[in-house]
This record gives sequence, structure tokens and C-alpha cells, in this order.
Amino acid sequence: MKPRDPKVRSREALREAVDRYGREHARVAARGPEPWPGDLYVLEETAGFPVEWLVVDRTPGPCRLVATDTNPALGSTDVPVPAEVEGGPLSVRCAVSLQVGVETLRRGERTGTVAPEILDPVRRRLEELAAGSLDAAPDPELEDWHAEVLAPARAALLPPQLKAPGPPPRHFRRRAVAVAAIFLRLAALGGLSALAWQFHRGELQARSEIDRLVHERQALESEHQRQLAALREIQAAQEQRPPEPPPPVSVPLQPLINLVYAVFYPGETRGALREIAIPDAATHLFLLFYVGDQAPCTEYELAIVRRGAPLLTVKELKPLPGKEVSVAVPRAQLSNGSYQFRLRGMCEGERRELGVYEARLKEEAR
Amino acid sequence: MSKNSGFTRFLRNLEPGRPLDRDDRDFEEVWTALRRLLVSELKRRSLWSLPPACLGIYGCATWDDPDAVEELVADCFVFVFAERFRSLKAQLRHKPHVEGLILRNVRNFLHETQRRHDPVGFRVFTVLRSAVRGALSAGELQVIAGSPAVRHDTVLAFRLGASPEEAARSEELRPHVLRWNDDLLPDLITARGWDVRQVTARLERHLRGLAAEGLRAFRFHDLVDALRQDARARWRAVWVHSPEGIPLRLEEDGFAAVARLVEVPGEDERESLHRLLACLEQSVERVAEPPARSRDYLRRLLVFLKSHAADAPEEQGAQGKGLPSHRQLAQLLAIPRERLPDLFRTLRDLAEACRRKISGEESS
Repeated sequence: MKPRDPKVRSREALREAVDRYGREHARVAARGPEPWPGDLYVLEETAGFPVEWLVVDRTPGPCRLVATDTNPALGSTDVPVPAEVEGGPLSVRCAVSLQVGVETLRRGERTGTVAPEILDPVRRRLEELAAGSLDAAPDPELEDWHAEVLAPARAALLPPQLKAPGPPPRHFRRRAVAVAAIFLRLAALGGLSALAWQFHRGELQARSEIDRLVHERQALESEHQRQLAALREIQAAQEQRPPEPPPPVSVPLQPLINLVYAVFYPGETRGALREIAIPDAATHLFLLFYVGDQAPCTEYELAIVRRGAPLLTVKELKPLPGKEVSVAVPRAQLSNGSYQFRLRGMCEGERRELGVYEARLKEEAR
Repeated sequence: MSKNSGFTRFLRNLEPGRPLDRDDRDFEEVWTALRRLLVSELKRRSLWSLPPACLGIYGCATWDDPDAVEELVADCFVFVFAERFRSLKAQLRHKPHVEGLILRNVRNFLHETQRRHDPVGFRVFTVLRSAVRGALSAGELQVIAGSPAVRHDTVLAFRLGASPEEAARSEELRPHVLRWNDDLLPDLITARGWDVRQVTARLERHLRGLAAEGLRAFRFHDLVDALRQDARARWRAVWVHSPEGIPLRLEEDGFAAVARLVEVPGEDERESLHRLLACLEQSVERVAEPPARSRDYLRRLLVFLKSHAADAPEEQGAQGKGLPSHRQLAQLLAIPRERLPDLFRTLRDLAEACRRKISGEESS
């Protein structure tokens, strides 16, 4: 192949990009002005940062936004919009999301849309983050980008009461000192009664607002504790309940057939969600975990977690000759959705976490 | 970068339906400014001394070759102005100029390009920087000179009051680094996602050990360099001379054949090699499992191949008509040795499918 002249190659790519921009821009302009899931916005509050906001959900109240940018480096919580897909190339930073009123969007400018198929993985990633099955901390390769661009952009959109308190700007401090000096002089002159009364009222209002927020927080905290206690009780009851006797066998035992199996190896990473397609006929999901990369343990246990809550714990797993442990879980116990499999080992008298694996179960497409 | 370097004006003038030929002078101006910016960034990041293949420019020995810089400017132009045209236009509606954003995009381009084409160098840098930052925030290390954001010029010490003159020389760091790599490889290069943090924590532990071994200060660049050079040398050591007259076994030939594809491509093959590596990357993600971990192992082999492609031509030449030693390759990449022949076959099949696809695209 004859190599193309670098300038010719660049001009051709630019020409295609400008044409594509024209087509996409016309499509966006033809739609009504209302924000809609899939829309991209540049907002006045964050215009100083190279981010666009993707509308993920819109309700009558707030809209959920997620930050997007054109830095191609991806972390475990990000979703890429490929270059060939509408709106791309973009990196959707699911760990940088927030809710804003629709008015904020109406003040901003819609700059494009992303293809609808991108919204599904974004919503799934947000669910996983909310459930705590993904870590929101940036990966080492993205630390700088997060600190310099994403975190300040998000902070700029947050309402003032939610922003982290920092030292007041220096000119405010100077002004505060000057104002205080004036007040002191006026007080010395004894002419401050009306102002003092207003100041006092303001202070009372502020105090009552603080009290209200403290009460609100206490109420939320106690509600949270109550829910936790209820969950613990349920869990304790489940653990104490004696094992139910096996149901009477009315038919001869049958072999398990049509198993779907999934093998998990250490090193499969968090965030790399694995999909397991299960055909209709499958009655059991056969899970196999490789444990040969670490010192052998006498016994293993597997906890299956759904949306951050334990669903099932299987104990007394023994290693097989192939350095694997295996579990067959009835399909009826695992509906479609995302799960976390936590493997622990009883090694040298202590319990060790050996691996956390994530998978999403779904019906096999017919 | 000057706010009047013309990037903003160039972008403002580009509108659908308007012929590009009208902006010839602007285009030339932007091209020159982009070349200047890239060269200064290459030097700032110490990439100027590495072979251009580390940034996907194959077939040129050094950056002094003007073709190498022109090719890089073209790749960067497409990345910044063509692929990100919509986003730049979006930002331009709210900003008086986008010169700062262009600079960020150029840096992102270099970051991403090095990650793809020089996986060893890139990974060593990012993991070591993250480990150093961890030690800094724990108060175990202090920046005593250079950029506090931990760049090449940063000098670090285990106690305040140390002077930059006390920084250990590269030769003094090397023996320590060799021991670290015994423990960290291959995870340092092949770990993905969550596992990167684990390998970072291991490196941080080694870093803390330097103080106990009597080293009080060091230059970040020297440590990166020592780690990187040792990692690269170990990867190169996998190639061994094939004995004269003994025909290659099919499975050996499989991997060697793929490796030859990425060695010293001619000028005509640069773009094809780019596309071959990109196609292989995508194809590996679609490989069926079981056999278990096939994708993970193929990714590791691909990282190895990319690193091989990024080696300077004379280093590739030194390997002669070499073959990878199965034992060493298995050890280096932590792949069970008995799995290698099948993996080689799969990789060769994928490479052939990719070549067919690429030549089909070119002929159509």
C-alpha cells in the first residue's frame, strides 16, 4: 500500500468530521428544545472545564447527569462511546454523576446526543456504583484527570451547601476584618441596637436552620440504623434456623442436565462485568473458581451478593484435584441481573478474602 | 502556549458546507503550531530519546527523521481536530478560545498513544508515579526539588532537609530495581483494572524499603528509567536464536510469524501495522472461552508483541532470526506453558483474518 501524504490524510479526516458534525447538528436542532435522556450539554457553571454532561434520566423533578469528556483513558467505572457511534468518541465517567433541576439544563446548551444503546451500560454502571459493587476511586492512570478536571467540574455544579467547605478567599477575609472593625466602633458609640437586633435575628434563623439540618440528619441516621438492625435480625434468623429436612424423594434421583457453567479465575478484574447468557432449559448454574494460584486452604466459602446484600452463602467447599472449587446453584435462586461472587478461604486458622468476581446473568437470546 | 496560535480561529472558520480549501493558510499555520507543540511535549516527557515506534510511528529509527515527526503530527491532527471536532465546537460556543483545551488534547493523545504502543514504558511510569504519590500522601516521602505533581524532574527524599545533591545515581538504583522486578513482573505490565492497585501497593512497599537500604533521595526520572530498562531487557531476553538447519515447529512458527509482522515495517506498511494491531486488540476481546482465560493470556501475548514492535530496529535485529523461548515466555507472562501452542495458533489465525480484512479494505 502506498502511504498517504500526512497532510492529505489529515485534510480528508477533517473534511469527513465537518460533514458528520453538520449532519448530527442538524438532527439535534430539528428536535424540540426540551432536555431528554441521551442529550449532551455544556453548562455555564462548568464552562471552564472540558466536560459535557450526559442526561441519563429525566423525571418531573431532578435529572441525573453524568460527566463525559474526550480523554480516551478509561477506568473501571467508565463507559466508552466509540468514535463511530453518534456523539463519539467520548468517555462517560459514571463515578462523576449528580442530580440537577431541569432549569439548570434549560440554561445550558445542548451540544449533541449519544446513541441510545450507550444509555443501558451507563445506567447499569450507575446501579453497580450505588450498590457498592464498584469502587468509585479513580484508577492510577486517571488520577490527574480526575483531580484537575472531573472533580472540580462536579463541584462547580453542586448546590453551595453541598460543596466542601474551604478557607474563604483572601479578599473576603480582609473585608470581614474591616467590617468587624466598623462594627466595633459603632458598638462603642452605642448606636447599633437596630443592627444588632437584625444581626441577632439572622443568627437565630441560621441556628434554627442548622438545628433543622442536624435533626434531619439524626432522623436519617436512626432510620438507616433501624434498617440495618432489621437486616441483621433477618440474617441472624436465617443463620440460626435449623436446616430444613430434605423433601421426600418421590421419584428416583435424576442426573442434572443442561447446566450452564462459568469459570472464574483470579485476575479477572473489578469493573470488567462478565455476562452469562442462560438458555431457557438450564436448571442450574455451575460455578467453578480456580484457587491454584494461592496457598491451598482447607475449606472455602462462597457468598453471592445482589445489590450489596448477601443472597446466599455456601460453606464447606473443598478443593477439587484441579485446584478448583465448584458450586451448582439452582437457576430459580438466581434471577436475571448483576451479582457479586465473593470467595473466601479458611487458611491456617484464619478466614481470607480470595477474590471478588462480578457477573450479569441474562436470558440467552433466541 | 500562546493564545494566538491560531487553533481557535481555524476551528471557528470550519463550518459544514464551507469548502476547506479556502482555509489553506490557516491549515498550514495550525500544522506548524501543532508540530512545534508536539516536539516540545516529546522533549518535556523524555519521549524524544525513545524510538518513534513507541508512539506507533514504525519504520523510523529516531525523531530526527523528519518523516517521523510529520507522521506524528498527522496522527495528532486527526485525534484532536477531526475525531474531537464536535466536542471542540461545543466548547467553543461557551469560551472565547480553546487553546488550553487543544494543549490538553495533545497531551491526552501522547498519553493514549504511548499506552497503546509502548505498554511497558507507559505502565512502569503510571504505576510508579501512583506508588510515589501514595508514599507522599502518607508522609513517608517528600518532594525536595522539581514539580510537586511528580514529574520527571521531581527529586524525592525520605526526610526533609535532604538536598537534591544526595539523590542516588542511576547505577545505585539499578540493583534494587532488579530485585523489585523479580517480584513485580509480569503483573506490573499485564495487570488490568482492580489488579493495578494491588501491584501499585506492592511497589509502594518496595519503595519504602529504599530508606532502610541507605538511599536517602532519588530523582523520579532515574527510578522510572531503571525500572523501565530492566523490564524491557527481560522482555527482549525471551528471544533466542533458532538452531541452524532445524525447521520450525508449526506452533513456534505461528507466534514467530505474527511477531515478524510487527518487526521493522517498511514505509509502505506503517498504516497497515497500526490497523493490524488495532484489529488484533479488538479480535482478542471476541475470542470464545473456554478454554479458560484464553482472552487474558492472548492480551498478554499482544502486550508482548506491541512491546516487541516498539523496540528499536537494531534491538529487533539483535534478536536475529530468533524464536521466543517457550519456557521464558511462559515465565515472563505467567501463562501455563502447555497452553502456548494453542494460543499461538489462535493468534496467528486472528492475525491472518485481520490481514485479510485490512487488505480487503484497502483494495475496495
